[in-house]
Amino acid sequence: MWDQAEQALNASMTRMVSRFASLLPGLLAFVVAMLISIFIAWLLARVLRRFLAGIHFDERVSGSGLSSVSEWSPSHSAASLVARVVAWAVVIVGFLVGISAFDAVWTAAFLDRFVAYLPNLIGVVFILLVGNIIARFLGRSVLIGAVNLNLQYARLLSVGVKWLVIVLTTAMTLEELRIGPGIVQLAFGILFGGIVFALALAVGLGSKEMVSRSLERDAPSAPASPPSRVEEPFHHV
Amino acid sequence: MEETIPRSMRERIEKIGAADLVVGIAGGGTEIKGAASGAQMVRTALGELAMPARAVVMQTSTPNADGSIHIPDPDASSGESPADTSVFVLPAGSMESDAPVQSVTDVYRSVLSAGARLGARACCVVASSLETVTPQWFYLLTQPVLELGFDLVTPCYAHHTFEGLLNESIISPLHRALYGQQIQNPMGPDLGFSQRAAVQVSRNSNVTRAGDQPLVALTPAAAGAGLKICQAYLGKRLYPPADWSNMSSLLTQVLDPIFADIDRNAPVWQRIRGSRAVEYFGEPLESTRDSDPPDTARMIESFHLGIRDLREIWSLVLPPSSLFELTKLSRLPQDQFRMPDQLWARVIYDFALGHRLRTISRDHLLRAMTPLYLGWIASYALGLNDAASNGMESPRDRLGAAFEAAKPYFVSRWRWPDRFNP
Repeated sequence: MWDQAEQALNASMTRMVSRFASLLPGLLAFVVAMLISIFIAWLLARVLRRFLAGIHFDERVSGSGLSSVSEWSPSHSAASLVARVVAWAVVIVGFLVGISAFDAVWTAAFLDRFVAYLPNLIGVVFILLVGNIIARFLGRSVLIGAVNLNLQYARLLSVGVKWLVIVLTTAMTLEELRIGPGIVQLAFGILFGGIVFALALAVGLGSKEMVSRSLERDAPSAPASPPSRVEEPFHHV
Repeated sequence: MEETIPRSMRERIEKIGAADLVVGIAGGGTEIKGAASGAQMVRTALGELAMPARAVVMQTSTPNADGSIHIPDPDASSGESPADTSVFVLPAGSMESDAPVQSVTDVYRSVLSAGARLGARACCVVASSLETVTPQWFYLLTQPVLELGFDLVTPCYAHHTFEGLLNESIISPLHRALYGQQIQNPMGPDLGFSQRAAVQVSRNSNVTRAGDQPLVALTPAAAGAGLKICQAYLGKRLYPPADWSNMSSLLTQVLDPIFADIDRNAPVWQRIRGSRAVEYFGEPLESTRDSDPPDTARMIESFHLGIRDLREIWSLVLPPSSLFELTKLSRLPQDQFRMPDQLWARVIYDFALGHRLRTISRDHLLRAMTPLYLGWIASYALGLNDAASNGMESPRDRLGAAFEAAKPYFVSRWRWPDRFNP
């Protein structure tokens, strides 16, 4: 009985060790693949950053009105952002190569799913980029317009509009990634409606007097009265 | 430039053949003086010239009550003017927009095209309301060109202290500093010019393109080419009432083509140093002043709101020192609110540079300037009393000198925009 147990244990140990030993070349290959990819990524990023600096990429991007893209990068540089994206892409490819060294069948299945998911990822990047640009543009337009109308809550209005677009963009990206679509739709509806309601309340309460004055002025039955404001002496053009 | 004139009008111009003078009338007021009043005034003005002249008058067509457009008879000519003097009346193309600046631009384009086709020695556009325009206006705008060899005649008006503020605060001092000529109203809007000046402006910019406005480009083009410029005291001009709710659109409409023109003429104005006075014609006119100081509280409030909420946008074009000075200004009590001329000059230069570099959308940039402009008006209105009591030089001269003094700063930033600027 004891002998049989010892044999079973030995067989198990042998299987375990041989299995682990069979993994070692794959692990080594993974580490090597990762190291090489990290080196290539670093080298590529460096070369790319120099090249982009040489062609004044940052100035061109800010000149083309895509300055908000730069703000995604910690150093506020579009060139640095591009270099980082390329570097991470190389590291991810190295990771996939390393993984395939372990188990070709599993990796092939993983790669198939990844490739099938790639269009969604590209779509998400595009939605995020466009959404961010639109959010910033609309936020800025509203801020400037509201300040020029002498509205005290101009910043609140601007931030509200900006977040409306960002929330909409985020909901779209999650929908595109197929992450909890039902929850996302519900949450988006609640959040979007909440922001609109909050903005309506804020603007409504803030401009109550202005609206009532405007309604009084536009009322068709209102008797003709002299202009409420003093005749301005200022003329601009 | 052919496409600026409709085909039917080209045929009429060909029928007329040649003319010494092409006059454009873009201002309103015909409903008060009558549709033919412009042509009659031109006829009277031509009668005062030493030599008889042949003129073509182009005016914006006035829609009738039923919406149709009355086109005057092209063969209608004067029976009262001296021998060999004749006036033809044509509609100045079709207006594409109801906005006043656009319609003035259309008339300028029509006059430039017609002037080139007719081989006119002089052209003139009167864009002010005809209510205050007299035949003397047409005479003063055309006589220096036809008889004295000048290439451009710019107007001087007897205006109120708070009229033409955009010109007083930006256009006139900017022109003085950049092109070295002390001209009261570089952008007219009533101008007389020679065929040489017309050719120069067509060479400098594509005046048929939507963004390029001949009214904006004429004086810089003439100044840059070294053409002879003079000014004429015309008289009282009726200014359109201020639309405070649309101030940012007005700033965009006026400043966008000016800043674009500055960009186009950069090689010219960077070479010019100092400024000189420009010759005057006509009787000098006095500006009038209200005894009661205007209410500036609302403008100062707008400036404060700008400091609070637009600082982030301003910081994209203004250096920290200017932002600091503006913040300091916002903390002053209302009666001490004075924007230093040097600060205003640098702000305008920085915005012109921001426009060139497209740091942010040009529309956003120019609209974000509104609180600063209102702050300047408030400071100007409050500072008039100081100038009057201290016997200081006129605000226009002071501001012009400040723009001149700040020009090296502008040139330096224009050439090296990335250089550190505290």
